[in-house]
Amino acid sequence: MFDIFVKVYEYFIFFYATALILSYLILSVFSFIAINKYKSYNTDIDDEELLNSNLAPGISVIAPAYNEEKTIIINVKSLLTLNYPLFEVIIVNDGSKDKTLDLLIEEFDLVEAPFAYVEKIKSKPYKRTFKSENPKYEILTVIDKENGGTKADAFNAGLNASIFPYYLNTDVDCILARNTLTKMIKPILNSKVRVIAVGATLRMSNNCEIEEGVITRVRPPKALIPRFQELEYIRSYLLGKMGWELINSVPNVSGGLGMFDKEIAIKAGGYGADSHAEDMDMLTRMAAHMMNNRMEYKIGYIPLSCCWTEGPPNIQILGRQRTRWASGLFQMFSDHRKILFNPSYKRLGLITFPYIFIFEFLAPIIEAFGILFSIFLLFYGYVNWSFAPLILLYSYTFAIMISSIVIIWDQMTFKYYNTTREVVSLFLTAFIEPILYHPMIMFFSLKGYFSYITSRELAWGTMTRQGFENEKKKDENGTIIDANEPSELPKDDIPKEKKPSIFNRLKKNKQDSNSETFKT
Amino acid sequence: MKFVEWFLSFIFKIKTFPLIIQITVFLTMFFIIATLALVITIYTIRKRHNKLQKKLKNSVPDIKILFEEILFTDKKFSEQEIFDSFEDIVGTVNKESLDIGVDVLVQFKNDDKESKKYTLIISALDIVRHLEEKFDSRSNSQKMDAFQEAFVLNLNRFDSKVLQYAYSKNKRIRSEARNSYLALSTNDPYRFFDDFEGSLTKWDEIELMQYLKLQSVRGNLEGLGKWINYSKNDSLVIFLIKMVGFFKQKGIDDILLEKLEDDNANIRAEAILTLGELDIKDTEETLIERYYTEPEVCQVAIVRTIRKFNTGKSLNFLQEIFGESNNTDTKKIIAEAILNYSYEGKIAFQNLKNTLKDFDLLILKHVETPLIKYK
Repeated sequence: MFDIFVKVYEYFIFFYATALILSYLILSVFSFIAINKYKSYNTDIDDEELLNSNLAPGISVIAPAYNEEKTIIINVKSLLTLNYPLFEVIIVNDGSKDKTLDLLIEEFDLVEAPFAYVEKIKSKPYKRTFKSENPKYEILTVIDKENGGTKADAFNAGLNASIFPYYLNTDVDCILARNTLTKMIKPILNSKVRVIAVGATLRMSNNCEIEEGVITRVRPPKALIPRFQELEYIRSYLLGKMGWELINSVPNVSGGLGMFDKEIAIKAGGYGADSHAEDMDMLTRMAAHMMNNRMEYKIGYIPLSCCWTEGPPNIQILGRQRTRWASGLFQMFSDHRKILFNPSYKRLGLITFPYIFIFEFLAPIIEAFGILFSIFLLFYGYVNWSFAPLILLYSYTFAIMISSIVIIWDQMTFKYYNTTREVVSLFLTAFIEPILYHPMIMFFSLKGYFSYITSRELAWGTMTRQGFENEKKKDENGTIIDANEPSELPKDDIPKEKKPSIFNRLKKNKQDSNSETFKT
Repeated sequence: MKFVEWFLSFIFKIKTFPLIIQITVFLTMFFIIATLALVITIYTIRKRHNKLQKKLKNSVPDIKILFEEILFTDKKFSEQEIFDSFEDIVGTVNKESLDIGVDVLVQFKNDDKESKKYTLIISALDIVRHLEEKFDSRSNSQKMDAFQEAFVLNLNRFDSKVLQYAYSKNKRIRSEARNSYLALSTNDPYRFFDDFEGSLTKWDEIELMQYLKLQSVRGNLEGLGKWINYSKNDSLVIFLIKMVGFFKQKGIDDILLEKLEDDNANIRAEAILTLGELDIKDTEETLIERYYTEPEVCQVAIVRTIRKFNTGKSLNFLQEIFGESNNTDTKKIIAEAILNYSYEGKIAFQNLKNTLKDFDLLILKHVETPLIKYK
């Protein structure tokens, strides 16, 4: 009996791994085609045309802020330096308990303004709106609201206050490239089919040079964890999402940087206020809305890096971030379970969702089981020592090959790093990533799933900011000076949301449906 | 010799493994070889990039100085002198160096640095031939570059090349060629207006508008209005109506009035807005009569047009519809129209502020707050 189980398990793992490898190879080819297509038909002259056009559509840049006193000023300045003919910047202060709002008021000469705020999407109570008395910051709006516990709730408030037909959602800890809006609006403008969302690549800002909110020199992070994450991001965006873009099946547009069609976002009900994977949740809602209403749609992706965000500097913060993401992924599959394997949702139900479910959601579980099972086999002497290293080498060399492909795709798109040495350092990271970084991610994912099932507390804003150490500011004499010293946010002040456990939620859903029946 | 022996014995040994392990070993070897090939590729890409960067760093500032001297000073240069000076800077005048030169010229043009002597540089460096080669290149990216550079450098000698691609099998190239034809052709710029496939994209509109601006400078915009009636493509009709308003094309009042009866609400709305742009004030009464039977998109257009007419005759109408509207966004537009509707409008706005309360009052305050740029 045990031998049969081992045999079945071996075959399952073989086919699972082969399917995963095949999918990566297919995505590599797809992404290569998509990147080349993008490069062929998009030039920098397009940007100039758009900047000088009277027909450029307006864009609202929405960034929620919760306890971001360390980086808020430099990041808002970065948003204000974007180069686009018609845009506004909306910062949503989600009930920060530190000096975030005070700093904004002081730096940007803000005063309370009478603002006709309409709650098109439900969010925690809106308090007031601030506008700047300084004409230099006339496009800046600061919305102050009660803390909603999630970034999604803050985004909803920002959406309610926005004026333009498209919006860019970003985080206030992100530094955007000046041409972000011209680059990201292009797939929307260039398509005959309605484009509901566009994403672009994110990278780590940890070791970059920043001047007055503008990235002036891109470098791979020195610290190992953000460098792992840089490689992981490039792989996920350039290989994964660009590949999916070719067949119009992009599963997710990052919450750090995404452009959306506001009308569809509102019609889809906005962000799920209790969602901790608000980006994927929003895109799924929008796509489902389009399909439910039999409307054609497209989700675009561009291979350019437009956004630099501060990567987790240590394991503790990485753990918090990944636990939240994993928990959000579980919540997403729980909330949208009717889409999974549902032919009514076409590619979303039959390709994108199943792929994410099998190869991203289940992967940590299968891996963890594999490790435990291997320990068991090791303990009982079932391990074939002649073949086991070959199998390990097989996965290891594949992981390195994929990372190498991604580095080439990155170099093909735009050479962000100035020196070959920096490219080599990223390449070398690929050799240790599967050994050091990957097991941590697996562990944090499992922790996230466990947190979701057992209703552990979740919080947004759990990323401890260190500020931009390479940020240079000009002093009164015009001399460039270093701006930041690392400090910690008051962690105890982070609002925590107590969720009902999954079992209670299912019970509640059942009760709700019963009560609806009763009402009918 | 030893390696060959080892390799053969290794192959022999592999053959004794189970099939799955054999596949694993084969794939592992493939991954290792592929990774090595990829590393060589990365190295080659970087080497080429570093070489180009070095060339750019060394030559671009000097090219800029040379071109600025030719274009923006009174100093006289012969074509041969320009070619020789350029060659001195870049070493060899080839495709790569000409691309750098064209980029510098395009940058000047984008920065609105105008001069009559661009043609002198273009002729001295034979940039027309260089662009022709780009048009003939197999790379779509090169072709797209050529279309745009020809437009920015105002080179209308590529009619035949553009026509050749106007029937290309590649949709993007075909569309770009047809749009470019509008800018590059002097004889029959609207030739492809009848051939647009499906709706125009917003990018098509942006490009076409750019090209129409060029035709407007050349005084070639006559006949644009007639396409509003000729075309069966709704998206093109909407775009043309907008352009007629933008370029203030007179003499198409009847066409616009006819379009007020169109089945497509977006066409009606655009026609209404253009009536405002062209200041055709005698239609104000008609527009007010239509207000209550039109959908929201047309209602908003009517309010904007009445504000534009600014005749002072429709203040009561604006006040009335402000009270009736339930849509906050529309209310803001109406309130803004009242506030900017002559002196009487300002007084009416203050009266409304004195009488209204709650959210309606907030809308009025919102609209009159100068700090709020986008209402």
